[in-house]
Amino acid sequence: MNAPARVLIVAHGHPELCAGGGEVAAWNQHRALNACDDFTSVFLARHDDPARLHGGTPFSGTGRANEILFHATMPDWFRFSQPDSALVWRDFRDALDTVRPDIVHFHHYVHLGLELIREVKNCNPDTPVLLTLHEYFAMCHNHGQMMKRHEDVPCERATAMDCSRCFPEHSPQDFALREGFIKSHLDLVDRFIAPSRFLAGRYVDWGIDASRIEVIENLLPPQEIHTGTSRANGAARERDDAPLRFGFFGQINHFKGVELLLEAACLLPGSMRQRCRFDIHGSGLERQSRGLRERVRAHADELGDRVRLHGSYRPADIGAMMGGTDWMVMPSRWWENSPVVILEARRAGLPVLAADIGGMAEKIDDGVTGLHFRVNDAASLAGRLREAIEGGEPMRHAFAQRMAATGDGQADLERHLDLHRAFADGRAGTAGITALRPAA
Amino acid sequence: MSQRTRPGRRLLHVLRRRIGEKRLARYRRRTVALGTRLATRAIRLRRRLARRPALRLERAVRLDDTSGVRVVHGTLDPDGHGFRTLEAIARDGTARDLAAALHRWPATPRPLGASNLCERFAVRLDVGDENGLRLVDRGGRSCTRRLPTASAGDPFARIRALLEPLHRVAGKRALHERVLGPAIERVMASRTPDRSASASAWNAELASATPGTTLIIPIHGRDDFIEHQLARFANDAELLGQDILYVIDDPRLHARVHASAERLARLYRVPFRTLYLARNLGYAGANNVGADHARGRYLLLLNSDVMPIDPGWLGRLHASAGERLDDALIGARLLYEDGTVQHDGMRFFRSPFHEGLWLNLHPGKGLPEALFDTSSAALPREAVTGACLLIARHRWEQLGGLDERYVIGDFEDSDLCLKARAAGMQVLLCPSARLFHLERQSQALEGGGGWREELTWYNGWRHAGRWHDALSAIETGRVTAGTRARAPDTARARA
Repeated sequence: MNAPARVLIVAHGHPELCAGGGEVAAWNQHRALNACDDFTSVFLARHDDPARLHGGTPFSGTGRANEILFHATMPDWFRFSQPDSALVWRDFRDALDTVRPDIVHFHHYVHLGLELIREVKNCNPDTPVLLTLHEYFAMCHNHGQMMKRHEDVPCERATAMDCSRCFPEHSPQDFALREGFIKSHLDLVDRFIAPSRFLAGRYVDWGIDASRIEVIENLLPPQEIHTGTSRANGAARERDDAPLRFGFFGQINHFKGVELLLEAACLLPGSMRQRCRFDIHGSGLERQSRGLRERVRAHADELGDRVRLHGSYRPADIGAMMGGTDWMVMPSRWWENSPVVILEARRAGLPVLAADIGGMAEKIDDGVTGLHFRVNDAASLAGRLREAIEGGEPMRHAFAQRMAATGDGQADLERHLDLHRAFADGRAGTAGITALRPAA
Repeated sequence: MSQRTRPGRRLLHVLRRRIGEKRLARYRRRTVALGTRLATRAIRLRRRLARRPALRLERAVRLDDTSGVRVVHGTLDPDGHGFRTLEAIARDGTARDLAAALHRWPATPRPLGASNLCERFAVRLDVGDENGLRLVDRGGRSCTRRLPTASAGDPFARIRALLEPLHRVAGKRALHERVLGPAIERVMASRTPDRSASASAWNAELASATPGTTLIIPIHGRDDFIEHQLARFANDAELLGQDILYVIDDPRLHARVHASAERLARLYRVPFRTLYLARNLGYAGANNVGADHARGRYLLLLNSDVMPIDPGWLGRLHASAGERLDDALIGARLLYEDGTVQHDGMRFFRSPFHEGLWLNLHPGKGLPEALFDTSSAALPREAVTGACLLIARHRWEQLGGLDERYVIGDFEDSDLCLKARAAGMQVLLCPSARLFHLERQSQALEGGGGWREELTWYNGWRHAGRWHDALSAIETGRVTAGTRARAPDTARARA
């Protein structure tokens, strides 16, 4: 390859303006590609703050030469269809004409509209389109979480009939139409990237051909931007008799299960509680339902000085915070796909107590790099906490070393670059879109 | 029903026993249905007998006092017989059919008491002594209304009063084609504004006897940009040899600009002139009068909210055209404060949101500048903005300057570009002349709502009417060339 290939990364948000796992993964991808000589990447992120809007265009800048803010809203969370079609055929087309990408890599279609994928092919059927899958939005109308809406249990499979049971306001026919519409756009994608085998499996079950999905982990930001020193390679703690520190990292909401962790902590006998501490890092409690807030408060009161609610944190500080933690707890009630905090924990050499489903179970080997507990089961989690406390420092140290040995993401980066290279120099063909080519 | 009264109840009770509950209910239903039918018939009959067309005038705007052109709108209701004609009645009683100057559209919601044939209408009257309107229906019945006479204010206030209530009309294009367009055009054509102006020269001792370029910078509403521009001009040696002409198109600002010029001339050692217009002439008029006072061989139209980024831009603008300088109209690349492009040339666009009306698009607007061509040579474009535009003075005079018949700053620049193309000149953009453009909010093309949106319709209608063939030819050329309209002949180097 002579000239670097141009990649356009399309994301549903800019992490500096609206933090979320998918947005961060997209931005990291953009920066990783730009750091490689074979690529130049342009980051197009959806945004909706009118203060940054110019007149007569939905585009504005962030001040960086290769970043674009795209002011779009997409209220159709059923079909993910962009209601303002001119945003697609006039404005997004204009961006494509200007960037002239060799590859377009979507990190989402929510907030933007599935039609953007089609517009890439309308513009040039030979431009490869990649799509990184972040949740289960395409198949699940319940915020893409694959959770039963009313029973609050993980859902195994999306079918028109079952989905209509969750959402009686939409008939099974509506769901069948929805699936067909979404697939008509996803059919144009040349390669899907799933950050976990579990997530890929779900999409295969849903009807995406397995050969079109690559399983590659999301990327972390380059290490040097982290503040503080993380305790890499599972270095031992300074004092063995200090209380064992369990950390929770993430949004505080129902799905992330922080309440379950506190409940499990309350189940520990008093003597054992004295030998550990719980640090909750993350914000969002004030936005939760009153019931959840009260339960979290009640548990926190009961645990007294054993629990600390630290509030929100800057993403760059996570390494330092993990350095001050002995075990991470991941009590999510939903499947997760590939949690960023687990990647961070790998880099920090931090063992994880994780629920035994989905992406968490896949990324954490039970008894090797962490311990599994039954999802949604405080007693099971309490049992595992107990094991960890009783195992003390020797057990933690062994787990931490194995966790640190799982890699720092360099191999994942190489695989991402290889995939993009394959599409850039045409080794991986764009298939299955003959319908969009003009007749010869 | 008499069910609620005592005797009625007693009667019902008796009947119920005699003929049974079911039959009784059936009889009651039939009775009610029969009553309703009879009542409806009676009402219709009464209406039919009394049916007359109705004409209601909501607003009659006399657009100016010399030509007497008027636009009237309101509702007409030919009731059951259907619409035949709307006529203008002159003082001597003669009637004239207004079909060619009439636009009708559905009245939704319908006024109280109106028939389902009721419509809203707008009509244009050109003849001064016509003082009445008559609606005639198919049955030959008619309704006549006298037109109100008074309308006050300057032409722009009257145009605004005319356009504002017509904001949500269906079929805008036909409305402008038949009614509003010719009316406003006639007003704009019959204007003979006072073009007198007085000039002051500042730092005249520094001025060149033979300036290369006259920078024409109209000032309206805000004058603080002058200081910002002078501060930047002062740091650019090239600007010292030019003729910088601020055209104060806002009588309210004269005293203030004059006072601040005294001060600024001492701080910034740049020769410049201020030209005070006796009346507000609008964007096109201000530039035209400015050009009349110009001394340079070239003219640079410059908005007051356009700020140079680095020195040397004017030289690059000149140099970019090379041999073609005197046969070209050259625009600059304008940027937003966040480093994205505001203007990199314009492209004509048949807007589906304006019933196929031609509008000017800014391709690439809002995208980072790093994604655009870098070239020291000027590149061809369909049109360029007048916010920063270079042209040889003799060419400007040959083209007749900017068209002053557009209302309040819209389309004059693309009109100039189309005139230039018709005269065999090239329209170019110089990517290496980079300036910031604050792009005032008043320049909103789409959205913004209200009467500005209506003005876009009028100006766009006039623009498309004058240049339909040229615009179609450009579009055809675009399709047959099979390339992108912007920078069709430059291969973008992959950075």
